[in-house]
Order: sequence, then structure tokens, then C-alpha cells
Amino acid sequence: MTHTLHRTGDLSSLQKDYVVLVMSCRGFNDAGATPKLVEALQILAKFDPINLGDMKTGSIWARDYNFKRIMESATDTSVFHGVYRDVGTVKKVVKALKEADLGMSVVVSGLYDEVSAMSREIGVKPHTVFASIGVWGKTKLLPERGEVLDIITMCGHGMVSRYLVTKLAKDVQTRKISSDEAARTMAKCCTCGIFNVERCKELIESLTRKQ
Amino acid sequence: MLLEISKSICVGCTQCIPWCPVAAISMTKEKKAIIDQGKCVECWVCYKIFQCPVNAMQPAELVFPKDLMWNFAVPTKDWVTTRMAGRGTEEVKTNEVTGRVRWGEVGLALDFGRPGISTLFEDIEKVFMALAAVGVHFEKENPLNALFDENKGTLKDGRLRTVRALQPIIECKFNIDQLEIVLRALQDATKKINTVVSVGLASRVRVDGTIPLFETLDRMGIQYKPNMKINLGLGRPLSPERVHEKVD
Repeated sequence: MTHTLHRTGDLSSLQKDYVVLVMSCRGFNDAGATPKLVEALQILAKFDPINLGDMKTGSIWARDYNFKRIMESATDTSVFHGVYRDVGTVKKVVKALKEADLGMSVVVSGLYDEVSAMSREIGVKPHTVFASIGVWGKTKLLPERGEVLDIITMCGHGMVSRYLVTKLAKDVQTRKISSDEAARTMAKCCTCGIFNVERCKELIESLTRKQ
Repeated sequence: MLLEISKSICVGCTQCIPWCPVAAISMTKEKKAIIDQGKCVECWVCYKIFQCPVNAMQPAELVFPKDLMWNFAVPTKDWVTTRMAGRGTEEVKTNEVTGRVRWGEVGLALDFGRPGISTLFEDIEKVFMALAAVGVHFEKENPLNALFDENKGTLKDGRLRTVRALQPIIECKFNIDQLEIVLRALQDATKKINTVVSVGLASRVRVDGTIPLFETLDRMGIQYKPNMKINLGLGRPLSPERVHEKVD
């Protein structure tokens, strides 16, 4: 489950891309964890996330899904995600989670220097990091570095097709759909709700300008 | 369920083609969409998310090895072996509780075929063998690792070599003083594969926020991305090592 790692992009774009994840730990604190996880989900939802979801069931962008259904489907092993646009909001979310003292694991995916500084300000000490050292092997198979790669790496399970990105960008360019519709369409593919719809919209607009 | 497209129902609209992350759908001369079963990784994006307007996508019985591929591709599906969803373990997401990666250790996760390429198991085997040869400790709960002989690094079932999956993950760990040896072995092995691997390294964080792993990477000239996954240490109960550290 390295799904929130390996997101590509330039620094200014990544500054608008943070995922907060809350989960129990199987065999240690998962028994009876549902109410704690639901409380965590409510905290994630309170700070206007761009995306919200449970890896086990689905996200707010999935077909026929919404916050109420995500909450009702919560289990002891739910893995909840909220996506945010800035580290300032993440700070508020983490502070609220810390104060709630749920005993659930909290992981933030984003720029380390910003998350580390934010954590220190609220008395939280990062415990472990997972860092990407890039893509190795036959890298000529990848799309060129740029918007397409930045969009598809926002779904760590590989569900957002590069061909769909290109197709929807063309549809935006020919004004068949808006960039917002394109981003929402792609977000449906990302089951667990870590896809940053706002960032995707900006990347699609940038791609459309180039095309 | 194995997905097939019914020739009698398909109207040849081509709408499903771009939705496939691995380009497994194409058009026949008769202008009907067809799924290349050698490329298809059973992610179900075409079936569940796109939703064919005339319902030409037909699910059929999923038998070995397609059932395995489906498990690797669908994040919500629990593994029978580990009772966990997803392609790997909780890795460092719950590390403050499990103590999976301890002081002086490095965790390594290799996402094969990521982003969006997919992989044959024969390519995973090449890397698995290289890692086994340098003595890493493979993660017991990882569903991919369970398919390999961890001493030799070979697949237990040779039939899997020609099977394709979306993004399976090798997870292992080793002492930080082995980092250079492991990464050199990985560099050599990944030159021989016909896919890509997204490489992730896990490490504990010092109290001052610095990360010991990066000092070795800097020395080796290996760059790391500025965006990372950061476990904030809020889970309870803390692993014994962490409690000990707090006492110190």
C-alpha cells in the first residue's frame, strides 16, 4: 500500500497537494476501532477536503457515493483519506486529530519540509518516512515528464489511464467538456479517494494550452 | 470475473478504449471492441467505472491466474492469505505501532509496472533473485512475496512467469549499512527488465527531523523526491522500541 507515494510534479504544484490518511493497525488496535475512525473521518470532512474516501469502499467522486455512505460503510479496518490544497489546512486537520487522541495512525503525504515544520509547530514529531527515489527500469515506456504523468501518479493504484487523460484534454480543448468535468471524470477511477481533483483541473488546463 | 466484450452487443463506438490503463482494448476489422487477454490486468476500470452504454462488457468466470491478477489490481479486494486489501502491507503507515522498520533499518518497496505500465512476473523474478542474493529480509505478510521462494528468489509456480499484473509490490527491509549494496544490486537488476519500477525507501526520523537514510543517498548521488509519506507517530499502543526511546 504505497499508493500515496510517487506523485510527480513541480514544487509549486506539489505545494497544493496533500493527502491525510487515518487507519487502525491490524492485530494491534483494530478491534472496536470503527467509532474512532468515524470520528477521524468527521474531522477530515470538517476542513473542506478536495477529495475524501475509504480505500475499502470508495470516494466522494465515485458513482452513487457520498460522505454519508462512506461513514455508514466504515469498519474497524477502514483506511480514510482526505486531500487538501495547502499545508495550513493540513495543520488544522492534524491538530484536531491530535487533540481527539484517537490512537489511530495518521500519515501525511506531501512536501516533507513543510509537513515537518508544520508538525513541530503543533507538537507532533514525525516518526517514519517513506521516500520515493524515482522510477527505475525501462523508463522510456512512461509518458513524457509533465502533466500526463503528474495526473496519473495521483492515483497510486494505476486506475487513471494516460490515454483517458489525453482524450479528455482534447475534449476540453475542443470545448466538448470543461476542465472541471474532465477532472471529475478521472477522479471516478481512483477508488480510495486520493486523487486531487483541483490539481488535476489545473494540470488539464496547462496541458490544453500546450496542445 | 473475466471480462470479455460481446461482439453481438458492441456497437463499435470506441468509447471504452481510452479508459483502459494498459491499452488492452482495441478495435477489430469488423469494428467491434476486443480485450487482449494477454494485456488485460483485470482492473475493471472499463467495466465498473466507464460502464459500456450498451452493456457489451460481459463478465465470465475468473480462473487462475486471472483471479490473482484481479486481486493485485483491485484495491478494495481482501487477500485470502493476509485478510488485507491492497497490494501490500500497512508498511510504515502504522510503523509507530508495529515497529516494522526500526532504528538502523531501511524498508524497501518496489511497485512493479507503476505508473500505469503493468508487469510480467518474470520481470519481478529477476529483481527478486537479485535481492535474495544480497540477503534482504522479505516481508512475510506481503501477498506478492508469498509467491516466491525467498531464499532463491524464484517463483514457486513457474506458470506465473508469463502472467501480467498491474502494480504488484515487493516489500523487504535490511540494515542501513547494506543500503549501498542493495541499491547497486537493484540498479543492475532493473536494467534487465521490460517494465518500470517505482522505488520507495522507508526510514525512521530523528527527533530533530533529520533522516539518516538521506545521508547515504546523498553520498551515493541518488536523488529523492521532496514529497514523501510521513507517519506522524499518533497511533497507540506505541511499539516497545518507541516507548523505550521516549524513556531515554
